[in-house]
Amino acid sequence: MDQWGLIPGNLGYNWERNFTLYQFVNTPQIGQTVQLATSKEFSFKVGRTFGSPQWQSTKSVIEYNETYTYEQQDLNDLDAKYSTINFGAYGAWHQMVNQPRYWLAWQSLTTIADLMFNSNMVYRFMAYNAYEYLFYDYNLVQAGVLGALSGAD
Amino acid sequence: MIVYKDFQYGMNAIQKLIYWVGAWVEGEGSAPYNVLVNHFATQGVNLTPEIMSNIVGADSMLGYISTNIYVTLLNDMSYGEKGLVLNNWRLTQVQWGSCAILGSINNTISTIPPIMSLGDFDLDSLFTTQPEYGIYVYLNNGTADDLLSPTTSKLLLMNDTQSYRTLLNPDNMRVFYEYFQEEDYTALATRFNVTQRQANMLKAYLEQMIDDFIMFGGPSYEPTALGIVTAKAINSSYAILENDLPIDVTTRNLASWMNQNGYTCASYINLAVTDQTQAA
Repeated sequence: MDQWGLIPGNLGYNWERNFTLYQFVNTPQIGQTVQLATSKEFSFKVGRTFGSPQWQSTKSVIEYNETYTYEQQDLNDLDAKYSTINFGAYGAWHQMVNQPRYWLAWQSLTTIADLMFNSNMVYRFMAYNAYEYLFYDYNLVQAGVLGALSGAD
Repeated sequence: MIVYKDFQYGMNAIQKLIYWVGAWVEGEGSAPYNVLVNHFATQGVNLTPEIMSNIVGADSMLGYISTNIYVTLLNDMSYGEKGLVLNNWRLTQVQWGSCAILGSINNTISTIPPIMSLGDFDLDSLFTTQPEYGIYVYLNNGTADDLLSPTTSKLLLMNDTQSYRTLLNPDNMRVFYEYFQEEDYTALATRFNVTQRQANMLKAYLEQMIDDFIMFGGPSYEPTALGIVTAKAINSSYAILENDLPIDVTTRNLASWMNQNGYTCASYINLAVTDQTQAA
């Protein structure tokens, strides 16, 4: 039986992703127009697998490893170098320059509230107390909690 | 020893004890309970109901410790709501405004030092900094007057974007910043229920959180601008592949099969009618 979502899977799905890079062909100064040239097209055959599904009770979700593999179709130009935009740095710069502070503050606070709410704070707090009170010491745990099990278990 | 030291579900670390706490809170047959039983069965340890009762039952040590905390929180009128089950959102609000949940000696087992912040747990990489307003006050020479009362915490962190006071609404946050810029502390007090000192501290806290959570590796750092455009394009492609592709493939296969066999839509209706007739 095939597992749902596998690529290619038993049905032999063929998924290709094609990338074209935009490379600077000049080093623009302020006021100058950026000139870009497109690279050749890079084609990758994509595969997808799922592994190690595990029920995470405290989050009520199943966590799994979703693995993508990219197999390059054309093995030429593997060492070619291209200069392109650093999206991460550009994005951070754009946000700090163009977004008003109240917006950033709102983003931060909503993130904090969401994380705190979903952090299982009370479970953590109980676990902290239990650990500090007793569970830090194996001998105490064996005597008071795991007595019905053999020492090996 | 296997149960105590298990790499994933053992008892020798706080982050692993959370599963056992979950089994105690949610009880026999619950998801965390079953996860533990099933996991240790694969390790050759048979956690029978009797053994599990010793570990996470009502009379267990874990039960004794957890019950104390649970009941104390449940009955603590200082954060405003008493009920049959803990209100996690309410606890979050109070912890955010004053650290009064984790930081109060009333809530911990005797001899256990209280901790102040969720960021202190160091359980995992969930928080890279201490996220509460309350801990910011403590760390920046604030006083008890600078902390937010449960009432104010509830207003400012209300999970209702229609509220004109919650700072979880971007327009309210804009108004907070505008009032602050105008030094209109009367308006701040009226709308957000904060004193001048609290408003100053809150503004400084928010600026600190911008740095911690947006710029420097906070847990939800999101690339913006072109980065977001790129992410949206990729997510859109994924959505098409994950949601539409299977339906598309199924439809095409079905259509091909129907065509090959000379079936029409009426064939299905005929088949259904025939089946029902046969069933009757």
